[in-house]
Amino acid sequence: MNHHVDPELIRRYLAGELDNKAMHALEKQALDDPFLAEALDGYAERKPDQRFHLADLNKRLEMRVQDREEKRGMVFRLNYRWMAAAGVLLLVGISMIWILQRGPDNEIAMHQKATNISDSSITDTLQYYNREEPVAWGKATPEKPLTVSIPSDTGFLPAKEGRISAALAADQPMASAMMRREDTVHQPSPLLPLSDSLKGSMAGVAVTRPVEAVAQAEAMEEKNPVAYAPMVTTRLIQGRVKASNDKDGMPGATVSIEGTGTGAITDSDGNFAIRVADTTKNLKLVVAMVGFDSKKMDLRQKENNLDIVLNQQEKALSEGVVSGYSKSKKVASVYQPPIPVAGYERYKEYLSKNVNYPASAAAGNVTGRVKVSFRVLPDGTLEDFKITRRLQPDCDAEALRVVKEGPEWSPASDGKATRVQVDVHFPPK
Amino acid sequence: MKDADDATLILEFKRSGQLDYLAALYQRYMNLVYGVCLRYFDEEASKDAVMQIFEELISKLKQHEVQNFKSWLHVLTRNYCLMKLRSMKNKEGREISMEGLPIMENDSFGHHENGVSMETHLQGMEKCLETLPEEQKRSVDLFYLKEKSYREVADITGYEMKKVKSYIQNGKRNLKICMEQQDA
Repeated sequence: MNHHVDPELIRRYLAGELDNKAMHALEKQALDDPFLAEALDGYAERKPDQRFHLADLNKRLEMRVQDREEKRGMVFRLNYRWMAAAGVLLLVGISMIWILQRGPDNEIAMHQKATNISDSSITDTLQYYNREEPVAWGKATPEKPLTVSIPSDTGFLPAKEGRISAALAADQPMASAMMRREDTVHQPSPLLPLSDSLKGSMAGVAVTRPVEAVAQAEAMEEKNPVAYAPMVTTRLIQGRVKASNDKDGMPGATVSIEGTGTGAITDSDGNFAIRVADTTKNLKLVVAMVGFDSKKMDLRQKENNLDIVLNQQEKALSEGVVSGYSKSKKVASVYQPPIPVAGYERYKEYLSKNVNYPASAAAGNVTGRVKVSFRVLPDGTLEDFKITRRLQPDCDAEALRVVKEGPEWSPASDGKATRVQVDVHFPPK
Repeated sequence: MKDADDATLILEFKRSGQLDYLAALYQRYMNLVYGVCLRYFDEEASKDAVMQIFEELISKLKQHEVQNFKSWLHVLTRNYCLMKLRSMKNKEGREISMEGLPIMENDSFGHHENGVSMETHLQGMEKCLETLPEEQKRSVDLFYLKEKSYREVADITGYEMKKVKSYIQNGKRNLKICMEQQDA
């Protein structure tokens, strides 16, 4: 089969170095081979000598094949690294939980002196001095302040209230202390889980009526709703969107925060900026553009400057587009003419083995080929046999016989009856 | 690997996932792919395109059953180029009128592989030849029957090279239509 055409032949053809016969041969081949024809057209528009570029291509292909091996290794190493990172994170997480659960306990039990751990923000640290209420604390030294510190961004926020309530639970109002609490506590939190944590953490201290205390705290909250409004600061998220195969920015891509109406469209250089409330946790950024795979990404707290790369969609490139240019076929179903079920090679083999050389032809020293044409119906049956090139009556008959009795054919892919033609050779003996 | 036919290489590639097989196959047609790309882009961009098409092959071959690889590759190549061209619009790149591009004819697919050659059609079709316009008839006659090259045909007839080519292409098409009518 004539699959590949020597690049050198093409070069010489275009450079006019071939003789007329060779030129004709290539031209004829091109007429039967649209791929070759189009390639020739392409070459014809350039300098005839493309040897340098072709050699370069070969090299690049080679590198590409080798490259794959290396990449595989890298991916593995990368995974390994990620796993390590995940492991470390897990460890940190677990120890955080552990510390947080144990920390306050110890503080209370030991009546440590006030040491503000997370300082600055009022919401993080809650101080309570129990000057006037010795009863609740049993043997606690009244002068010593009790500090409960809870880092704000943990899941243990509720405990805050609990502990206070517990402290207050003892008995009597302690109006002044309560007032102070109103001033300092800004974050509303559910109270329920806290009675548990409080029971545990107050072990060794006289806790009398925690439930009542909770109720008290609740009542207090109601009294003072304004104090619980979140402090609003904003956060500016900005960045640039580009395509994976393009170094310039991508204009017109939409960038939005998932689950909110907040978003932006990139400008002509691919830049965008979005302002969101700082308190919003677990931000997910969604970036989308027609023809590209959209991307969803988690935003970490400090990550305000982003470079986002979108990958071109594989799918959009194939089927849909093709139909625009060729009315007839999609890529997925390239037209395939009828072929022998076992393939042409096998079919030829069959022909050459099964042709009986007619005696009359042998006597007359007749050699050559007979062309037999027939139609392959959609169900694979053959009909309407014709001889399109005759040689000698007996040879013609033999050719017809051998094709008729021959192996099965598979029909054309478009499901239509299609005419094909085969050569039956009667070679010189 | 050099002697294996296309189908075998595709099969091996699908089975093993080894790029070597695919590369060996691609190498056979790379100059054609490159040539087609040259119609649309300059040399450097064409080379990039050739490599990109190879990447597409890696994934697409796994999805599609390909029987006639060469024809399929041709369609893939052209689609890739047109897509690329479209995405480059308003940027740089040559303007190509889509009109001028020949639309693939179904029956020209695999034509070169099924043993039906134009030459034999012609021999059974001298009548059809008579029905062609004069320029087409002369060009086709000289090219197919007298086996002259385009250049010689142009010299003999005095037609322009480009015209000769289109006369022959059109003549061939008309003949085919004529013959199909005879067959039917």
